[in-house]
Amino acid sequence: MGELVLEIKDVSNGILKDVNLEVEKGDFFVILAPSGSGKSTLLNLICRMEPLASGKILINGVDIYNISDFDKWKAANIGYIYEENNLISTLTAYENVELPMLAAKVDKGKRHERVLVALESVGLKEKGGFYPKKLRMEEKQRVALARTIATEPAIILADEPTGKLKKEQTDSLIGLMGELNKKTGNTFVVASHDHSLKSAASKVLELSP
Amino acid sequence: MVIFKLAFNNIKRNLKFYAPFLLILIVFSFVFSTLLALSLGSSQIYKKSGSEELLAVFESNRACVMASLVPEVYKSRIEGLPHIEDITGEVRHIIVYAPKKSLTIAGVEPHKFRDFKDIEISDAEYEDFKKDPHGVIIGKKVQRLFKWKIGESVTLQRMNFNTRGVFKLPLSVYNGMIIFHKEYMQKLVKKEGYFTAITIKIDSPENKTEVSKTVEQLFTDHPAGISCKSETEFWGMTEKQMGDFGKNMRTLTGLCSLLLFALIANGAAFCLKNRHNEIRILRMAGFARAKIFALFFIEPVQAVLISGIGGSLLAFIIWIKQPTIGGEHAIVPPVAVTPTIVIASIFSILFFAVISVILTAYKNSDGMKVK
Repeated sequence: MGELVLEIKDVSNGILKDVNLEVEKGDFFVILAPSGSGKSTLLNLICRMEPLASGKILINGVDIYNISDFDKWKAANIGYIYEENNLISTLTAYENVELPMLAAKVDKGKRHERVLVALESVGLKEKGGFYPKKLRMEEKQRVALARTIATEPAIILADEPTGKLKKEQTDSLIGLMGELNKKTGNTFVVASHDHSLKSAASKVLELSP
Repeated sequence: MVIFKLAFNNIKRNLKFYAPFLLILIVFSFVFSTLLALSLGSSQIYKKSGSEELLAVFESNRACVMASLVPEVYKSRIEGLPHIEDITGEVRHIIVYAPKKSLTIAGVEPHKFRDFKDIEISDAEYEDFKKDPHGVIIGKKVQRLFKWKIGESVTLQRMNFNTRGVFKLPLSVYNGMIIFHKEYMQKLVKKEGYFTAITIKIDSPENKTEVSKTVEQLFTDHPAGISCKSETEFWGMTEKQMGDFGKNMRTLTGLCSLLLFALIANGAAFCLKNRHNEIRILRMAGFARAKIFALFFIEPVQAVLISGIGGSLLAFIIWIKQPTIGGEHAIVPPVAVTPTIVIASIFSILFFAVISVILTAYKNSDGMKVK
């Protein structure tokens, strides 16, 4: 068994009852479930956006509900991709990717280098100066992906990342995420109702409604 | 610095959204600055020309203090009253020497004037002035304006006079005046036998009310009535005598400021509402709560400051072009009065408005699902 990145132990919260889950480093973990089955709630709990009723959630062995400066810790350790509205419309793709590094006060030279590498790895190096309104939906999701990988977090959470994409774009994004997972060893936890994600998954958890 | 840059970028890139708000704000700041300056400054020019230690005897119920006509013979009737140390008379008149440019000229009793007004002038120059019936002494501002030399014979607006000295007074309005001999000035402005006001020096300020009453009772036979008030009050009466102008200006200013503040608060709220998605992204990016608050607070404040300064500057430029009386603007410079009042008010109101809006947006940013 590999190194555990995420451990969910006996977590209960609303619709979720006694959830137990283990995600290893480098996993591409897909939680497949229809809407209303609690997958977004589970992701909210992993990033402490909702109070935990019972159980424990550990990332890299640390109980996240016991971390005092969680905002800062989260920025360094957890990456997020939403279904849509991932980008700040008044910032360029480059600036959106740079954002977490600005918060973490990474120096300018290093920031620039990491932003370019991240944008290149999602195939958008040439579109760094574009504002979100000039980007296609799939490109926006790629920028969001670049933002998460730029900070090299312990885990990347994605909630329905392909929910607003067409079939072709979905395949392209899934392909890219899978490729990045293999190439960089990033750990992904993806919640979706889209079964095509299975193709990139190393582990799949299917929740029933 | 990152926060200021982000806030400024947000304004720049949201210009289409911010533009109407900023434009309205510029207009309001301009109107507000001008009204405030006007309401505060309209009487300053006159108030500055008087002293609290002297009493002025003048004709009541005149539309303008400059139009007051007090018969010269009244002076001898007042002279004998108790508590009066000294007495003199002064004739004032405004001349327009160029479009939108005017000067106050005054006719005084040279042997008395220096005892009443603490002017700075050399004894030799004042003696020359006393000796020459057509001689004048000019304020520093007048000298700077016309570059007249001492001893020069001048013709201004068909008035001929000889400059005999240059004086300075702490009450700056006098420095924009030309002072003539009373008799010559009365002739020039066709007010022979009349003063604009008689000035009384009393033995103690405690006797001010008693002297005023006695003097006013003395002239109950005057058809328009005679008033006796402190000199400051007299020259400051212009505002009062212009009806409710000053009061209306202040009401208007108050109303305008209320509107301005309401606009700012609403504008800020409008700019920040529905920004919870942005807050959510910033939170995810690792920006601390304080930084997010600062960013969303600074953004409207920057916008307000930019437009507020713009509006005040516009008012200032227009103020420069205003007519002057003896080199004095009738209204105080708008930028001199607005910053403290406007910025203090803006900050206090914005503080409450913005904090409440950010709190709401921050709360709404919870949850990963975008609604």
